[in-house]
Amino acid sequence: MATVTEERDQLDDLWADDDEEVGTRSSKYLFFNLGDELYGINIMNITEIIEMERITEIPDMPGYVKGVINLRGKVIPVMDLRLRFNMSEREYDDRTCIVVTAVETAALGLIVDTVAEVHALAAKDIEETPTFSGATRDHYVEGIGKIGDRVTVLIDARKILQAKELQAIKSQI
Amino acid sequence: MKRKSKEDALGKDFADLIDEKEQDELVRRQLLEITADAKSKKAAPPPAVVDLGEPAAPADEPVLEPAVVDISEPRPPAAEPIPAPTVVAGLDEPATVEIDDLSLMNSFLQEMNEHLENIEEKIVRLERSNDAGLVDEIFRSMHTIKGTSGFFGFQFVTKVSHETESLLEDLRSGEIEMSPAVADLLLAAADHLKGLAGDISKECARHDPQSVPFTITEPTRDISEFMSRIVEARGGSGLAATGAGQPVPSSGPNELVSQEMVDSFKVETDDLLSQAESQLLQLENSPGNLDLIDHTFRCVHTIKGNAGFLGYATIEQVCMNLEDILDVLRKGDRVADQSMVTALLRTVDSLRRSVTRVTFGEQDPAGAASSADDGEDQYRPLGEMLVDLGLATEEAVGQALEEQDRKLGEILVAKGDLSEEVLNDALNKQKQALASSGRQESMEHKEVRVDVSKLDRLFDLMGELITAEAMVVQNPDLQGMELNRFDQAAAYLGKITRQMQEITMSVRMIPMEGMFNKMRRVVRDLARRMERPIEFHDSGRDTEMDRNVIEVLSDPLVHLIRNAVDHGIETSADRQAAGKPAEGRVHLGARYEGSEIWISVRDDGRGLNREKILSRAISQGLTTEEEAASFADDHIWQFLFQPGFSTAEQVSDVSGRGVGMDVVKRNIEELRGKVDVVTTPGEGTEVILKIPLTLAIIDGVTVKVGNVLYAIPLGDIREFHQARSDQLSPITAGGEVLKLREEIIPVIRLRKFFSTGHGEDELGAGIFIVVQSSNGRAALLVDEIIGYHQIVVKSLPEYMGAMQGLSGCSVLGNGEVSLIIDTSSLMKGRAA
Repeated sequence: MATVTEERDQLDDLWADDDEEVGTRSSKYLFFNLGDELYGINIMNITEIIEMERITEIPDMPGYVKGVINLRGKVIPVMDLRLRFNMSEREYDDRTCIVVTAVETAALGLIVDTVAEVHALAAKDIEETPTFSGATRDHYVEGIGKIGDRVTVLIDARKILQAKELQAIKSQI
Repeated sequence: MKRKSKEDALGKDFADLIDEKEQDELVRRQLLEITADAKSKKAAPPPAVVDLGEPAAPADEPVLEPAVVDISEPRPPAAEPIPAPTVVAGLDEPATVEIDDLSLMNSFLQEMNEHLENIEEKIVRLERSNDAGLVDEIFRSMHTIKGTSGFFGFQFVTKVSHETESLLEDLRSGEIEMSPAVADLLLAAADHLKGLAGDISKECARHDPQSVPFTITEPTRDISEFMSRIVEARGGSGLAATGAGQPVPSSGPNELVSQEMVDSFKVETDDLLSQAESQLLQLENSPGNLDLIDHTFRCVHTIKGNAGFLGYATIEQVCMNLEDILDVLRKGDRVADQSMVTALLRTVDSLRRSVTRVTFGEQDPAGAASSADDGEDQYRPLGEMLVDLGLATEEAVGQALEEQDRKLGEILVAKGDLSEEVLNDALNKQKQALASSGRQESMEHKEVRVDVSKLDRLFDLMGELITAEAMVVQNPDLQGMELNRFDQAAAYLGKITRQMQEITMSVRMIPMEGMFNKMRRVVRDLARRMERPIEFHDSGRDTEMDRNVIEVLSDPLVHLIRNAVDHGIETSADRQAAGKPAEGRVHLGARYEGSEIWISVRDDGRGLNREKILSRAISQGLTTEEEAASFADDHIWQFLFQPGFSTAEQVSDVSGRGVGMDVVKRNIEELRGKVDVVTTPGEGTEVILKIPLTLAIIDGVTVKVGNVLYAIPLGDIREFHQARSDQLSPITAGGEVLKLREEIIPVIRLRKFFSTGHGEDELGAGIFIVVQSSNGRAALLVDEIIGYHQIVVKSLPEYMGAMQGLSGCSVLGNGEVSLIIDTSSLMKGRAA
């Protein structure tokens, strides 16, 4: 747990200036790219960001669950968010990152193209999810965030971690 | 306050003693004043302000509320514990209980469960030997449950425990006799309480732990039958269910109090006082923190109850006074300022002193506390003692005192006032007294209660440490370097790591005693239900096991015992006809065997019937008659573990549905253990569960398939075999078999089975690993063998759920993750 708070503190330090501008009722989000789109995850749910590393394949998993990694002795599953959101697969390169999210005791690594920035969003800049076409990612979306004139999809880490469909897929196998 | 006396510090010491006495007296007086203060309901004049050595309290002090229950209650006779504050009324209305501290709640539930487990075991023992000491112990546990539940406001718990107390009271006074019916009733009470505790914890679990305070509705239970049974049981004695107004047993408390109880009272009280002390110290920094006051209140209340029960009236009285003050604080009528906290702390100190002076057989040690200094064995400064003994004059001592830089004894000897011999005698005497009082003052805590999650964390860290050690010592960067001193240091590190690992493992080990007690209860209940007299024996209850393992073992053991009683042991008539004693015997044993623990359930019943099992197996299509003829007995007994297999003609409420043995097998396999059955017709059956000592670290062989690493537990491996395609033959049912020395072994290609690893199997280069599991043999095809390792088992991420053929994963020294193969579930997958 110590690492979680440390990292968060570091992030807090880095972005302390934002805080004062926006006021207290704002949350910080980590933004990253998948293709051309910008996504955000509340940093309260992020423990760390690591470089791409060797992934051990696990049998009987849907394609978007790439396997597990060893994170300082802790074995955590890794999901390719591109595949999860039905985007085309892309070779991992040196900018590919694994964003490690944690909700309570469960942890999950998310593979993203590049990590962009941490930015605070005030409550007024977050809108409720408009109903899309029923795409997969809708289940995971917490809201739509606005940074200036850019629009980002905010992902709810809790929902990703507690995804029911993994169990459903497994029971079919 | 604590005296750390050395024989040469006499002068100061003496002053200290007087000081203490005075302080005791002072504190008592202050307490009484504050109490009176709290009790006085007169509104108009400002209440008499208590002088606590601080500026007087403000004159416009708010009007004090009437004192709470505890104070207004008449003092019960010493032998009868103080009734819990909550008087049960309007039980049909479940109360809502506000929870503002979840950890408090959890510790309440945990404590309650511990008490209940104790109680259960004691009831069963009590049934066999009507021992008054046991009644008292049960009483104490019940009373604690009642007290704490009353504090939280769980009326049903309070009610049940209260009624049970009344029943125990009758038992103790001899109003009713111990009988199986009474034992049933007591056990029913324990069950009700257990159920309630379970419901409460479920209620709590429905709320987000972050969202405290929240309110829960008190769980209810239909206890009317239980209540009427209690009334009935006690009715014979003509006592109403109120439990009030009972005659105090004339025997007096001392006959009921055993040395053990006094000792545990002392330890417990010391613990509680320390808790109270730390709460008070915190209170000083945050006056008005109700949690702290409440916690202190509970501590004091428990001490009060126990002291009352043991008949220590003075301790009880001091506690009552303390409670009164705490109550005033709780209501916010006074702020816990520094002087108040000081007074409270002084009281706690004086209580502690009283408690350390409690010795067995003393009616009221605390009362004697003030005069205890007259006692011969009490520690006193040497000078004083010498004067008393007439060995030295006061002047001599006084002179010596002036020369404080030397030891008193030496000075006196030097001055010729005292011979060395006499001095030594006196010194010895003083030492003895010091030793005895020292022993009492520092009650050692040999056990520490630790949250299990902390232990689990420690365990995880230990695993990581082993991995980290391998990472350092086998670091590829070190290859080819001259490392003499490094190797030495590494060896030292390795040794310490190993020792730490052993100790860490042992920490989680607990004796199986608790489970044995539970099983004793199971046997007893079954025997009564089936009206079959059973004698229960056990051995090896001290055998220690990983607590997680014990939890998993509980269900299988219950099933085995049910089987033994229901199927194994014959009716009394049958037994006598067979020339056996009418009472059946069930034996539960545990012992170490190499790196395993063997737990056996043995009965002296009719034994297993080969023919009956076979015919049932054939009729269920598990085997054919031709096959069956060649089966060894061991093979046949394995049918018992098939799901749905039962030879019982009738399904009773105890057993016969064929689920039990299946559960046994599954749970034991989960623990990587084995089940053996030994039976002799007419003489009985023994089922032995063989369980590896630890689950956390196993020896395994790491293999590679494509780019995936797997670990296979060493114990499962029979042999390695270079793969040659001419040994393989396809079979019609699909799949292929390996012909090895006339034996046909099914082949599992791991690459195909797990559909991972990429690439193709190359038979020429591959290796077969022949493994044996409870589901038979198989040959696993792998690409390469990496080596033999100690593997720290980690579970796969919860997110992924359970996986067929895999029992977990492990991190190797180089940081790579290997998947641990579970051979028996692997083979089940093949069969399916």
